[in-house]
Amino acid sequence: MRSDAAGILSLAVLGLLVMAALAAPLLTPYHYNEGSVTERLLPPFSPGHVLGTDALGRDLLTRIIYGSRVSLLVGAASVLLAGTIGTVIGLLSGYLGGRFDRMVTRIIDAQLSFPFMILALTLAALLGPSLRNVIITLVVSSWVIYARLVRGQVLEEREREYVQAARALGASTARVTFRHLLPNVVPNVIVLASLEVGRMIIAEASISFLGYGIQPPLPSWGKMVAEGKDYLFTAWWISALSGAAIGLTTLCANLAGDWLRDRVGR
Amino acid sequence: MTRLLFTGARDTIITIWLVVTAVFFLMRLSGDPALLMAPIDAPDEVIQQIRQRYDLDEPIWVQYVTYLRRLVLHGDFGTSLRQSESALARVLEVAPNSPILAGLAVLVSLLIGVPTGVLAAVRRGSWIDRAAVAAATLLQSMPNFWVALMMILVFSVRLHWLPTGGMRGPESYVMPVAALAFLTTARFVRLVRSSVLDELGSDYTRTARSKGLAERVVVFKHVLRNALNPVITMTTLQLGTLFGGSVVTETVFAWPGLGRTGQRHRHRRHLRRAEPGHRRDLRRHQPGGAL
Repeated sequence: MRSDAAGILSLAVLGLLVMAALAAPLLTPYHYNEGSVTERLLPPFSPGHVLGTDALGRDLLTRIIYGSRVSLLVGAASVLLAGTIGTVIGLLSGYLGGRFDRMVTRIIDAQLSFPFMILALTLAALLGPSLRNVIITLVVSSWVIYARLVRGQVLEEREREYVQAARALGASTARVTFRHLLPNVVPNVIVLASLEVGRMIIAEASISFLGYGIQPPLPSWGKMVAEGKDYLFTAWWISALSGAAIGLTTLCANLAGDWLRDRVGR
Repeated sequence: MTRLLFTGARDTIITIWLVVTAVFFLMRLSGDPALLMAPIDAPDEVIQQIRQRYDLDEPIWVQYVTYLRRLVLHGDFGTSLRQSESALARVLEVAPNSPILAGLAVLVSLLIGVPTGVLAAVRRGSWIDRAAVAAATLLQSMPNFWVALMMILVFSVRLHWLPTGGMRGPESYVMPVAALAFLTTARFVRLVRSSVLDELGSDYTRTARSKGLAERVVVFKHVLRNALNPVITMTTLQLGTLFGGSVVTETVFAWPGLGRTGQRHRHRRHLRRAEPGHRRDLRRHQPGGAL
């Protein structure tokens, strides 16, 4: 269905983005927070500023490259943390059953009936705006998805013969869950995680867009779109380019995730 | 069957109770509510009066019981302090607006998404299929606030065809609905396409074809019926989600809906207002999920 070319290409682009993010100081002649009052709101292709400048005279290309650090970091960290927590809880809940499982299921259902953005925004508003809090917010809002998936799978797997065999041989709960069940659960978790990266990047951008996320001096693409909103009539490139960066990164993450799913998924 | 209903009802109640409790505690976690309500330079007596008026000087479990009692017995969501009117009234004022937007968006998504998905599946591998999937993937990757802003840029700022926001007259509906519909349509296209593809490969389809039925009959009369099952599920889920008000879209278009109202009061750390907003989302979602 989807050709391998798209998937591999997007993985390559993602790799480039990561490298650009890491090598940011080498690629940009300007500092991301140094504005020049005389060079405000310059359009793209102005001399010295390929992508133009924002309202404070800061070079847009620089800010976009530095902004990729934030987005990629948030995407990766939130998915790793939420995935780990969700997987562990899902494993234990599915395997142990009983009251623990019932309680976990209630929590999962309760949280899933909350619209994701509302929950995330409420948490972000309560915790205060910062990079660390954004990651916490996203992790708390999204761990349930992994838990639900893993739990469902564990419920299936737990009746299989290899599990029964392990238990007959005297394996402890810990051994059965982590040595036997976990490896069978991980592929689907990885597929889910790869699709969640894009969603987390957009979620962070939305939270920052509304003002609850990353604060200056760190540049966040979402915040940049919000800053550009006031200049939509005149300096539209600020919002347009920042948002395009978000879209491009998410697109690559999604395509890579699709490719992964085609290769790995059952 | 009755037993299922009971369990469903009991679980819903427990879920709602959990949510209500969570809202109660979340609202108090952000600091002494009396301090938040009072103006910055208010003298201590004023703060103390506020405390007394809203029972904030009672022990926390007393407050909790009162809160539950008011909620369950009287449907009392509390008073909006800023505007001295019932929080419930305020929420009810804007309550219909979000569902209207959501309903329109889902309708448009279905009208565009389902035929496109079917077409893509039936003509698998053709340019239509590839274009549809590419468009769907692209739309799902764009942040919706940015798509909304770009639409405003093109249609309001440059072309002056449509208003930038608010809820006045049919023109102001076009862009918000479109913004919400983009994402939903993309989801539907992908879902319908994969669902129809699954059905097309099944035994009964082969039987129908070998009976000599025209392809169109096979598709419309048999395949579609089965393929649309997951679509129905997703429709209810999407409606449930969107009913709560898409905060971002509503903010960009200044649409007076639940999401934005809850947002503005979350912004002011308003004690009582955010609660009804949360509960509305929950109520909408429960019926959708139960289905």
